[in-house]
Amino acid sequence: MVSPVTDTIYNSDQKEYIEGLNRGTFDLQWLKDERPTFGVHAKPRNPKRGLTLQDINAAFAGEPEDAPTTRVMAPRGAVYDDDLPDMGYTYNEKYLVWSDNVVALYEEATARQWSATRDIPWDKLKKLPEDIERAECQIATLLSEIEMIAADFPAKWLWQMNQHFHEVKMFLCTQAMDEARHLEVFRKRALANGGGLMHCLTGTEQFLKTILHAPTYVQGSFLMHILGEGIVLDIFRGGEFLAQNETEKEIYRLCMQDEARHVSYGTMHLKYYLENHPDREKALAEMHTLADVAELGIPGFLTNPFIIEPLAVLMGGGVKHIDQGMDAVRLIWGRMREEYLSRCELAGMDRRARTRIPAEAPY
Amino acid sequence: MKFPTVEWFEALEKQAEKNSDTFRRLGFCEAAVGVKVLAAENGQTRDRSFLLTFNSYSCNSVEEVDNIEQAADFVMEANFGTWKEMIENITANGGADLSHTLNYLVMPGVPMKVTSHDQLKDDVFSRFISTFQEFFDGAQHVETEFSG
Repeated sequence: MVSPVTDTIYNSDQKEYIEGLNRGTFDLQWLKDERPTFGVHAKPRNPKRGLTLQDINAAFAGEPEDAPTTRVMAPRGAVYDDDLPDMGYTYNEKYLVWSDNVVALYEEATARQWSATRDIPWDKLKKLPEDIERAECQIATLLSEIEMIAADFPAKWLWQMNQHFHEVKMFLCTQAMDEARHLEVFRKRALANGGGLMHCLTGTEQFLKTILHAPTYVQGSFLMHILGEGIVLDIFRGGEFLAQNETEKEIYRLCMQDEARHVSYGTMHLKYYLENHPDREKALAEMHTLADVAELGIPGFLTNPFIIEPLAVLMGGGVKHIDQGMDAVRLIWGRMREEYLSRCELAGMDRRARTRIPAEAPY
Repeated sequence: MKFPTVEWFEALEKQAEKNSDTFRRLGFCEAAVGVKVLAAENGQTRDRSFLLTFNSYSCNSVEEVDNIEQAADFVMEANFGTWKEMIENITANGGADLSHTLNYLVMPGVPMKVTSHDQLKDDVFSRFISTFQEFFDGAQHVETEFSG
């Protein structure tokens, strides 16, 4: 015989339910409820790949609303109680966070994760001449310093984004993981071959602080995804080009892949933002003003001896041939500028007539 | 197997199938990759272009096309001699050495270049570079003839 529920820990509804259970009566409402998706069978479009977010989105509730009225963590498309607590989200409109490629990029990111411990052939590192090792380590130090901004920045905004746009939040989680791995792999490179951690610069930290403390997500996203990570993508490509051994080749190749996804999201987010902003002209003008100021940092970055000289030493094959190595720096300057302007143009913000980034390196 | 032909690229596709564990580990790849061999040095009278479609863990179809710029996300373009040197290097070293990887060859814009009508599609080259490199490194297992 079960005694009646008298413990004050339970409220009246819970007591009633417990008493029902003790009489052998179950609620079973959840079992009778056929709303909203009972009977849905999402199928993989490509069975070799598996069941993707695109597949389930095609089956049900795949299209987020432009301005959901809920502020809850309940999954998009689920049935939920009327009195769910408000999570306090401040990013509740799709144009503030969305990009049309974010669902595919999330799947790509999860499929192409790698391990800095397992997937890098650390045994292929060989002793290098001191100037080359120092150059590698100066760049590795810089990258270990700057990469984590692309984890800290989205982490700061993630909780403020309405969970209705869960794909964006999930993608940004993959980005944070990518950047943790980049910090890891460059710290490992610096400490694995005799060079060690080297010099970090005030100007770099100032740029990182600008990103971290950007007043809005789209402004920070532009600074980080398009401007910052666009530059870093070219540094990664340059790093692969200048690699002294298979270890560095693999590090840079794998980092390139991750970084290109982030740049791709940022570019398409800016495009979506500008196309769907209720006052497009005003939004465009604000982004141009931001870019006018932010771009002034690029010449500073590319005239910094702690950044360009290690690249030139690697390109030239040693400090004796640093002059020849400056060709690589000029090449990276030109590529960075052109690709940055192309991404802005693709996003609907043509900067070609407005940019003050010099077309050619001043050296 | 003669390079450049559809059959040669299909032979790479078969190598990738044999090496499927590696490609699965690198991850799913969705890309339309153009390979253009410029008409020079090998007696070709016209450029030859091949569309490699990656919609799985590796390439799953190859076709020779005329309008490669429209069909592909990006096009890797080089003269016959550059492709030959890259393939010979891969064969000799069991994979591209430091100065014959795809990114190494295209980074300065010579001797190979990547072209695309859209920066986002140009970036597809970077997004899946490990898969593309592994795919071409499969050439080490293909007996290649280079006669035009």
